[in-house]
Parts: sequence; C-alpha cells; structure tokens
Amino acid sequence: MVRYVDTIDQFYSAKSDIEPIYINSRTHGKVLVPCVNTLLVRPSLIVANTYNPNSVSDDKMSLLQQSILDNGFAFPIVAIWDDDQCKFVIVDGFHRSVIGGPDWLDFDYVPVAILNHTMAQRLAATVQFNKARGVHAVDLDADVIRALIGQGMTEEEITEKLGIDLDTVHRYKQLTGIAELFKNADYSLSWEMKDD
Amino acid sequence: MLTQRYTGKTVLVAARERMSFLFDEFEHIIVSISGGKDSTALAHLALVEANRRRRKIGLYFLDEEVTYQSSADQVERLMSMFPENITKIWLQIEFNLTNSTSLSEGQLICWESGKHKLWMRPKKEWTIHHAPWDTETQTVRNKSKGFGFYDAIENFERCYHGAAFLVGLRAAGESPNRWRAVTKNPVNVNGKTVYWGTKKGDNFALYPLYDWNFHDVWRYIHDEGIPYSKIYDMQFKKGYPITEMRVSSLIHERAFKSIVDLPEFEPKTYNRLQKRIQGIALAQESGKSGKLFACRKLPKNFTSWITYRDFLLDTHLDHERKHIFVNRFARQLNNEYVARQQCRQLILNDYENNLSVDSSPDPRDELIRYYDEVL
Repeated sequence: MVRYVDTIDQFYSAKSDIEPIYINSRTHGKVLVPCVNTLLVRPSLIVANTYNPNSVSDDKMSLLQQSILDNGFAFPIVAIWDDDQCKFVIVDGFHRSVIGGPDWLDFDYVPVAILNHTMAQRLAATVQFNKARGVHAVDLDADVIRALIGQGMTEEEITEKLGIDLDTVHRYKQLTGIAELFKNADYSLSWEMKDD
Repeated sequence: MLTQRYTGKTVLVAARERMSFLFDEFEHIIVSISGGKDSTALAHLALVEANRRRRKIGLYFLDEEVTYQSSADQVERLMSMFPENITKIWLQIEFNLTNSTSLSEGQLICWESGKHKLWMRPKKEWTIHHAPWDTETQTVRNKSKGFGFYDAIENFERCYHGAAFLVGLRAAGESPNRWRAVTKNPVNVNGKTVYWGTKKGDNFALYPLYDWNFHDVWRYIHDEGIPYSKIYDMQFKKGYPITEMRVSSLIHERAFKSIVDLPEFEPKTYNRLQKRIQGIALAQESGKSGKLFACRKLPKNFTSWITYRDFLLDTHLDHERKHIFVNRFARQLNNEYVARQQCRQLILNDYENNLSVDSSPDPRDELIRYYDEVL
C-alpha cells in the first residue's frame, strides 16, 4: 500500500501504522529495512540538514536528473522526522531532493525513507552514506564507453546519458595511448656544453 | 667560459653517438631503470647498441616495494626485451623509506622480513633478495635514520669499479638548478672531458638523454614500439598536463598527490597499500586540496601559523621524532612565514628535513614597513 503524506497530521497518523521490517544477517542478526516503508511526501515538508559536507558539481547534477528520468526515482531520500521543526530533515539524498524541487523536475511528491536517529547517529549516517561508495577504475570506465559506442550509441548520446563532456569521450575512445600523440613530433636539436 | 651550443644534430642522433662512445670507453655499463618513460627510452637505446655489439649490460632496478604495479610490470617487460644482452639486477632488499602519509608510522621498511604477507607484491624468484655487499661494513649516511634508499644505491654502486651507471636524467624542461648541479663537475673519461656526467667514487654516473625533451622521449617510444607503463595512459585519460605526468614512488614527501587517483588507476594496489601502511585513506581524500598536505591555507580553527605549529607539535604522536622537530625549529626564526613551512614539515612527517625550511624574515614584514614609511 502506498502512503501519501500531504500534511503533518497525515504523517502522524501514518506513523502509527508503520511496522518495522527486518531481514536477517547470518553474521549480524536482525537488520532494519527502512526503504520498504517509504512514504511519498510533499517536497514542502522536507528541509536540508545544516551539516552535510558533500558537494556535487553542476555537471553531476544534470547527470542525476538524467538518471532519475531514465531509471525512475529508485533511491528514496533518507530523512528523520524532527518534532521541533515539524519537518523531515534529510540525512542522505539532499541532491536528489534538489532535483525533485522547483528548479529542476518540480515533483508533486518525492519518496522518503525514515530513520529513527539521534543527532550523533544522523551525523554518522550522513558521512557513511556519502563515503561508502566506489570509484570507477579509469580503464574500465573507458571500456564501458567503447562498449556503448560498439552498441551504436553516438558520442552526443553518451555525453547526455553519462554526464561526461565530449573531450572526455574522445580521450576514452583513444585506444592508442599517449605515445601515439607524439608520432609526428620533430626531435629537438641537440646541444652541448663547451669551454672556450 | 662554459657555454651551451647547438650541434646541428637531432637529440636522437646525438644520443646514439653518446651511447657508442660509452660502449667504446666502458667495459661495464649499467642502466638504472624505474619503470618511468625516461629510463625506458634510455634502456632501449643502450640495449640496441649492446645488441649490435653483442655485449651484455646490466639493467638495474632498486625496488621500493611501494610502487605502482604497472611500474613493476614495466621493469619486467624491459628486462625481457633483449635476453642475450641483459644482466638482470632487480634488488628486492630491506631498507627504510619515509612515510609522509602517517604520523604514527614515520618509516616503512620495504621488503621487511617476517612481513611477507603484507608486502605489496610477492618477491620474484629470480630477483636479488639479499644485499649483494657486506652488510657488516655497509655505509649509512645518517645513523639515526637507519639504512635508507640512498644508502642502498651507494652501497650497490660500490660493488663496481670503473663502471658506467646510465641514468635517464634530463635537463631540458627540468629546473635549471638540477642541470647546473649536473654540469658543475665535468668528468674525465680516458682523457676526454664529458659534461653530462659525474664521478661517483670509483664509478661514473652518466646522463645520455640530458638534452632530450619529453616529446623526444615519447616520439622515440612510439617509433620503436617500446611498451611503457599503463599509468601514463590513465593520467592522460584523466586530463593530466603532459609535463606533470609522473610514475613516482607512492609514499615519499612529494608523492601524496599520486595517491589521490590511485583507486581509479590501480584499485588492487590501493587496497594493498591501505593494509600495508597507515594514513593512506586521509592522503587519498585530502591530497589534492591545498588545506591539509600542502599547507597553503590555514585551517579555519587557527588564527596563525605559529599557533597551528605549536598545536601540531604539542599533539605529535611520536616522541622521538617530536624531539627532532623541536630542536630543529629552535634554531630557526619564529615568524608566520617560517611557521607555515614548519607546519608543512610536521604534516608530512618530514623529520629527515627533505623539504627544507627557509628560515628568513617574513617578506610581508618588509612590505608593511615600506608602506608605514610611505604613508
């Protein structure tokens, strides 16, 4: 059942219905799964936290928008409910909420998964969400781009879908490597030290 | 007067002539290689000449253990290029390295015995596993720091007499100081004065590529179809300026920058490195920003470099090293200009004083005085 939250009161009544769902880890026992109880919330009820050190560059924001359009809103915003502010305060997914806001896609609702965290837990959670992620190995990234070109995707489509500029696509396409760049370079003129 | 003069030849023709000269004059020729592009080109030039003359030369690699996997791969490729003309001298022996990424673990003993499970790579069967000189009488430059990288080089070179050690040092495009240091004392090779070398004990260090530019090196590597380290292609793909591409060690005072991109270049090497030495994660995340490691910007919770320096000293984790810093700083001026440099030494754990501190009056004080008088 999908739960919509338009007002604060709706959230308080929905809250009592929410039953925590757990999965079992062979090594660590019960683990909570908040994403199962995701709510669809009016963006006006959500505020940013004041401590998030993560920054996302403009080109990565465009990529995030493209990802949401292509794949749907697959990852809910993670938030806690703050009784003082009567708002959801974001723990993870600030940039997803910006993309859902008036400057970008201007959604009527956005998905929110709710944690029950103290301030210290929230700070730690934000850092965990931001940092526990991978980087792309440069040569594998290049392999993916060459595979997409092999599948018939144009360079322009690649820049749009993967959020990288044409220059980078060209670099990645170059199978030849750096030495190839200098094949037409002239050798310098030799010099020597003379004592006279 | 000593002047610099063009010869009318290309650097390639000149380098081949120099190579021919070296093979005429020296019986023992040893090329130092690192896996980098310059020593790759140099080794190839020497091997072509050796092959023509059916002679054998040494390819020498002092393995610091904490290197890119690609560097080790490159050395292995070079050593298998002209099998009948190469004596392989790949040293995988214990010596001390400075670890600038950690405050609690200031030195790394590479290839430390008993730690083979932690080594970045296993030793190869056919490399040299024990110092080929008498370790009882080996020389150490600085006893308090122990047997280091340069000690290993010196003691190794002392195993030879009258040999030519070829090094891929280039003057073109490098700092003028570096070149002045090289040409200051020309060497006498069987009556001929050679300006591209220095005498080292019984032996000679010679720089046949001294007038090459980076594009000459790449052109040569391309034309001859010589394999080169993959790191250069990755740095190129990441958009590094051509002149800043380096395949350096991963932990000395200036190398922390190369750790920033390591997870993208060699994820496996990065994982091994994290298990091998302390402080890698911090260096990876903050290495490129000027705040922490480069000490360009004062952290926001400090009001002066002097207070930041005193804080770093007070909280220093290693008592022995702290003493070295305290004594050294006591001999230096106490102003903001000097304190910033001292902070850099503390952050990079440079107890060896490799990034030396310019202990002079703050240049800004002079400017302030000037305006005080004028206004």
